[in-house]
Amino acid sequence: MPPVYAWFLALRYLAARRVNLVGMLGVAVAVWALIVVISVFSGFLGEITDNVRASSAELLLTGVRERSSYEAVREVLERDPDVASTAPRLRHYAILYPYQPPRALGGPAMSTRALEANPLAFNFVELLGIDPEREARTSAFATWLANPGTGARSALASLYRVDDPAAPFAVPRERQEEAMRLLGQRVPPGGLLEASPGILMSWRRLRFSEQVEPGQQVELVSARFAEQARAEDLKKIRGRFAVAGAYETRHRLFDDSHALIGLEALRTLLGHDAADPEGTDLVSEVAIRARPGADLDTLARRLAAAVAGVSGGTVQTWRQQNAVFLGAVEQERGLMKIVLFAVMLVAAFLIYATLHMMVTGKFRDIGILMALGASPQGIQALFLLCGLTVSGLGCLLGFLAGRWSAVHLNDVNDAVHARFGIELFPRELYSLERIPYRLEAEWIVQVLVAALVLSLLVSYLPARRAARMPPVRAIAYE
Amino acid sequence: MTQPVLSAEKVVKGYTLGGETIPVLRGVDFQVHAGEMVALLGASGAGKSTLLHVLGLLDPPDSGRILLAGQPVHDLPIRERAAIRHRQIGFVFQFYHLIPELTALQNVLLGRMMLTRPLAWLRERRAARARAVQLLESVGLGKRLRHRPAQLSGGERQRVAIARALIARPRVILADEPTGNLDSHTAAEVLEILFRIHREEGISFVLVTHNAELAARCHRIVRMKDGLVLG
Ligand SMILES: Nc1ncnc2c1ncn2[C@@H]1O[C@H](COP(=O)(O)OP(=O)(O)O)[C@@H](O)[C@H]1O
Ligand SMILES: [Mg+2]
Repeated sequence: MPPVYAWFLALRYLAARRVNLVGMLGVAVAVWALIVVISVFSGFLGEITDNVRASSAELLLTGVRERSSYEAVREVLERDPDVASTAPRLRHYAILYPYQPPRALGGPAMSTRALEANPLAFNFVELLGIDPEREARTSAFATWLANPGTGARSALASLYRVDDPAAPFAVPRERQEEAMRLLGQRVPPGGLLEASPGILMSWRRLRFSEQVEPGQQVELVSARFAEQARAEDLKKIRGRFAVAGAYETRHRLFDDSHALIGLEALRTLLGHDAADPEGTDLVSEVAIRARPGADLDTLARRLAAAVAGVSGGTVQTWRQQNAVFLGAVEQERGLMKIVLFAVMLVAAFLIYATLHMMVTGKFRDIGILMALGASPQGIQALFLLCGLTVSGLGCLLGFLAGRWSAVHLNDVNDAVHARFGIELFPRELYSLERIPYRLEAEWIVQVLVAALVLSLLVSYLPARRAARMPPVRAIAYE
Repeated sequence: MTQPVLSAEKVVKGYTLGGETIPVLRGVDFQVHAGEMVALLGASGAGKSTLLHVLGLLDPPDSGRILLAGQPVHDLPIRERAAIRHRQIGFVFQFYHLIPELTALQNVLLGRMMLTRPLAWLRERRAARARAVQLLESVGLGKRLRHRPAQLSGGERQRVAIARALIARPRVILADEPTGNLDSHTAAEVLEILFRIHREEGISFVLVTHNAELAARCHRIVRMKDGLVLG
């Protein structure tokens, strides 16, 4: 513990020199930025982790051999006591565009240009064929249907809300005819021959398009290889679907790319129908829900081994399925920490510079103190305390400001938006209602300790120089 | 004769400038006894200040010994020398050397703070403050406690410095031309204070001066020339 004069003088020296405010504010800004920015990143990471988790099955069997049968796989999977349920999935790719009635029925000429102006916002979709009943038991499918329009969103959302979650792909014929009329298309005399099967589009696609009517028909184009044929034997696939409504998992990457249709409808499209007796049961992946408390990683390994002889393929946990995406955000947060730490280094340098100046200016005082009986260690402690006090006050200020900013971030953002029309944080970009933040005590302690240790390190050189000053030269002259 | 409180034996001290060593003290023997007031006279550059610094353990001798109450102290570790300087020796300088940020009272208190830990200080603070006020009153500055050095005259500053030298109750005060920077009237006032303290407290004094009249009032006069004590 340094003697009392070191504490006493450190405070008085600092109070008498306003230049020390610079170092203090530097530390405060660095601490503030490290707390606010990283808290928002952590909040964001927490939020997207939740969203990613909601968009993914707990475990997913993928990469199965061609023509794998769901029943066979299901039997093996559900034999495991830790498996609660499974759901079959079939995946294909397609181009989607609004249905245009043939010219005979008054439709315009179809052109590539018309495709480019597609109000569905994206032509290309990953089609996920699902069994709604099994899916609802296995993934968060029910939540996906309930999500659109929650919170203070536009009235548009309720328009696309699925009426009956138990039969999400059923779109009544009258509704489809009504949509045609609303779009100015001529309904054939006597009405449509049959209702098209439903397709669920993501809320992210639909929310900007006031041109897509619920029940509107969309055309779907894809291709597949003919069974046991040469590679160039490509078969065109065409299908007509009706927009059944919107879903939202809140995981951007999933929502931007996926459209959901009934498993049977997709099988039919792909030609796995009655004409192909084995084809009625084909899957490309199987979603799996584990019993609560089961360790997903060990279960994934066990299931992969179990299905090795049946379908092959790998079993991935929801984290593994999204490893690249989650890893990228975490990487960004890590990078941000490094960038912001540079601010801390600048602040530390400011402390060093002001302290160096102070030691030079206090040359005579140091001689006087030694004449009064100060030891070199005491003199060193005096200037270390100066540096530590500057950064300690900076830490306190930065911490209080950082905490306040994080807690009031949304109010500040709203106020700035209302006043200047600028969004500090583009919430829309991440489809977030509120800017998320997570004040992690561990991180705050790390920041504060780093600031204090750093200031101690940079104070060491000036303090040592002070301790080594020869006292007699300082007091020999005025 | 009693044992000297503070003495120098064959002290040699030189300063190295540009590779060349300039001898400043060339074998100095010097003593000051308990309660004694010694005047140290000599031309400028004779080595008086240097001798005071070596005696006060601020600067180590190149050779020779410094004894405090008969015990050699010049080769103690730097921390212990600092502690002895704090407890036993008080300095008064020609240029006062107060800390400009502190008030008169704080400057005096600083003379008590060198070895005290913060917690102990909480207990000692009141007593120390009372003594500092009393010392400042005794040098006639009872109404200047909260003034900073810049707000005080030269004579007042030197009186603060004297109070500061006294607060730790030293055995010896080393005063280096304490009136060298004051007009004759103020100088006389300051000297009266020094003589009074000497009388009342029985502290030993080494007084560097150019003033022969003043020297005559001391118990003993020691003259220096070219780094040697004469006679
Ligand atoms: N720190 C120092 N470095 C170099 N030379 C010094 C130093 N201190 C004193 N001297 C030299 O030592 C000599 C004696 O100085 P000093 O003791 O101050 O004499 P006095 O006090 O008698 O006038 C002078 O020539 C001075 O220049
Ligand atoms: Mg001198």
